[in-house]
Amino acid sequence: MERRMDLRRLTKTVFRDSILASQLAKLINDYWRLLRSNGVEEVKIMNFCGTHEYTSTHYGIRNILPPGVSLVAGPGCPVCITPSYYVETAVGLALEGFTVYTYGDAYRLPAVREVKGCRSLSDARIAGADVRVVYSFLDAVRDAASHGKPSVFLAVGFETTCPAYASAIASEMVPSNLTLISAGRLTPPAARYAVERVGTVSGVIAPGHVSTITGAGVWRFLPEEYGIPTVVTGFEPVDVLIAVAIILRQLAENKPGLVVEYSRTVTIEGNQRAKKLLSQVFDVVDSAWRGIGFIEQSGYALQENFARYDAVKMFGLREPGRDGWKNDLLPGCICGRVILGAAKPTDCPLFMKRCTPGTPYGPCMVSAEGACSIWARLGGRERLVEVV
Amino acid sequence: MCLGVYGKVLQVNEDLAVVDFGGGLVKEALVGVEEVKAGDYVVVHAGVIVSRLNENEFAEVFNHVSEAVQILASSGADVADYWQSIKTRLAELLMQKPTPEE
Amino acid sequence: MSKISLAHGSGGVETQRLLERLVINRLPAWMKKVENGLGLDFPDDAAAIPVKNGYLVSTIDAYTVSPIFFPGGDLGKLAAAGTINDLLMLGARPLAVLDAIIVEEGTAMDDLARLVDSMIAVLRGEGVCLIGGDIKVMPKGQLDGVLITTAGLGFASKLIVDNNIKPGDKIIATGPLGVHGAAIFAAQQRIFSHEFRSDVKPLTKILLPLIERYIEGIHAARDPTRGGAAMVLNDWARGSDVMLVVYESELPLPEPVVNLCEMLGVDPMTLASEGAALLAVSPEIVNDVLNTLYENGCGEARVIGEAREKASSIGVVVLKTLVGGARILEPPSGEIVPRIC
Repeated sequence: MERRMDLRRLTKTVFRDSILASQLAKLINDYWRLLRSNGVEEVKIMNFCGTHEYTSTHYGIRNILPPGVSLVAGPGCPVCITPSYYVETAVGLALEGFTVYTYGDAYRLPAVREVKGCRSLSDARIAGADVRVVYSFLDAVRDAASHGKPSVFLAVGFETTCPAYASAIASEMVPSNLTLISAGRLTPPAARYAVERVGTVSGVIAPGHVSTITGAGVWRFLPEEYGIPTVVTGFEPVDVLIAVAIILRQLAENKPGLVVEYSRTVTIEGNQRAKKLLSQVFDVVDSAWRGIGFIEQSGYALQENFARYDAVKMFGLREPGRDGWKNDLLPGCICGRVILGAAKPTDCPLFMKRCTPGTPYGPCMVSAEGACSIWARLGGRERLVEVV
Repeated sequence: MCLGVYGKVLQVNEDLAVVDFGGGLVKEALVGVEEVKAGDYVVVHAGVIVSRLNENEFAEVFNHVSEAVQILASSGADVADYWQSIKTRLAELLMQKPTPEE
Repeated sequence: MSKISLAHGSGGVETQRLLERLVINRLPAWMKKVENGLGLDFPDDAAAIPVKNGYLVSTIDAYTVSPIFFPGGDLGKLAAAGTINDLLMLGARPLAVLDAIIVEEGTAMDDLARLVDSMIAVLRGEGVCLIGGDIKVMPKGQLDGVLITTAGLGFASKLIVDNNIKPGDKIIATGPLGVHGAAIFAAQQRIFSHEFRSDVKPLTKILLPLIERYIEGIHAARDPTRGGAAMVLNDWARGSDVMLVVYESELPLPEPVVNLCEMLGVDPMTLASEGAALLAVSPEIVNDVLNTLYENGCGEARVIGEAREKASSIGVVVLKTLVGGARILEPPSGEIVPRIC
């Protein structure tokens, strides 16, 4: 019988190895020295994805990098960027007696406006509504089918998450009592927006698991149109260190390109089956991102022939017009700047004062993938190594 | 943003697979990719198999690091010390005896 | 109007703030402790009243867990072991327990009997008396199953109060961390695996020999229950005004626990252990303490970190990560919910 490596274990042994990490740190330091001698003053790398932010913070990677090389967050947290309107809609339906499902992250997401005294689905549950946290859409489909009560799923997510909705809808698995608040979003348009607005991004650590679906090819515009080195990267600490080394190498050579560091699971073309399902079920439309505003061609809307799954259409709810999506953050909240990499969580005067993981004020403090939450829970700080 | 957990497919029944996440964690997942079979290692996100892991690509790290080291060396930096360590370590880690699958 | 949320009961920052607001800050200083004793003036596992040749140590805890029967134990075992362990952590020999059981109408008599039996079995095994108690029944739906409150009494000739950690002290974990929390979490997520069994057990046989031999050098002891090791270490750093440095590579986190945590997006350092303790000991006795632990069945006991002089800006717990980075190990905050994305 063929004997194969246990790839889970191999991933951990290779990509969490302390010796590799310490040697890669030396390589990165030497590159930084070379860049500095070429007159480079700062290298700002956007780790687009919330999960990369998690890796960077969880493993204290900012404290391994040279002082001039910084990692900044990007708009890659689907819960953080879900417009308040959808939360308010879900809370409203929950209080009207619908069973509302969502993921653990979105459950505590605060809206800007209270609905009957409730700001989040968590509040609604405390007020007696039937709100259920699930791990997957499939769990909700089965649960809703078992009780048959009118139910709604707050369907947030990026390209990685949305095929689950598309697949269940296309294969007619979704029971007739379950509808979706379709809030799915596409990442490349947001990345374009972020690099255009922030302007000083020297490199991008592009999303690994989004790219399993979309294919790495969707990120080519970053090096080609903006001259930004882009590395589709895995989520282990050594993956991130290698990505930083690749970006610095491209900067030193002045040859920006697209590299797939996460080739153990990402291809250039992506997941054809998932892409097909997405295009069968969803239209790509201009959509709002919380804290950012409208981004062209950045959202998934259920196609007309699947309208019976669309909670907004089925229950006669009215989406706000373009201007209605503004003011999507509470006063003083700087999440909009944090998710564009323009501010660090610790730059916010509310961070760990008015806004904590227990009593989140802004959306980035809620999600396990939100930069503020990650910094708060995992103690993200720069330059800690110097004190230890 | 998109947590993906690695697992090994134990069995496939049309659109549903049983996936072992290690440490005794076994859960069902929807098959979201073409042609998954028992024994494959996959990435699961929110209850869906979104992609497969390709064993042959693990050694790619070596090429990425090697390229970075060589270009740095060509600028005159002394890379011998850590390049040797990285090479030795990667060889150790990647060439390990296959662990018997449980 | 603000309301009580689950986060208020999760044993993290919110629980602590709620207790301060509701109780501690409303008491004048004299009410917080009996003279020369230990009470609400300092957050520790138990309270102490000075008596002849030592202290009467007492503790009280309300135990609730869902499911009531879980792999490796049940609510009755949890209540007995938890109370015994709280006494031990102050350096006391556990003597007696009192219990108050509140049960929902309609609960199966056999289930209740099983819970009480397993509570009694633990106490008997440790030579601890059950000297009093109460039972109440609540109408169906007004309580989810069973709730057990246990108070414990013990005697200590000297107290281990957790405000005594000195720079140079070593932090020891007597066994694996996060095991109970992971078992409960797995059961709640309907993940059935033989690898998740709660570690709930009384620590008498592990702690008493240490207390007898090394009490002078043990500067802090705590079982990392609700809130996990992250909460304990933060309490300690604050209570003793030191910085604690913890090495991720040395943490005794079982692989299944780490896997589960990665899958659900939870930090294992915030998950409860019910059968392990953290100790802060002076460097002179660290090897003796470890050897005693090995002799008493704690083969996985190890040093996980150390105390240092508090650095100017941070009076905190710093975690040196596997790959040589560093981050602050924050106390847990908010309700633990699994993430997707």
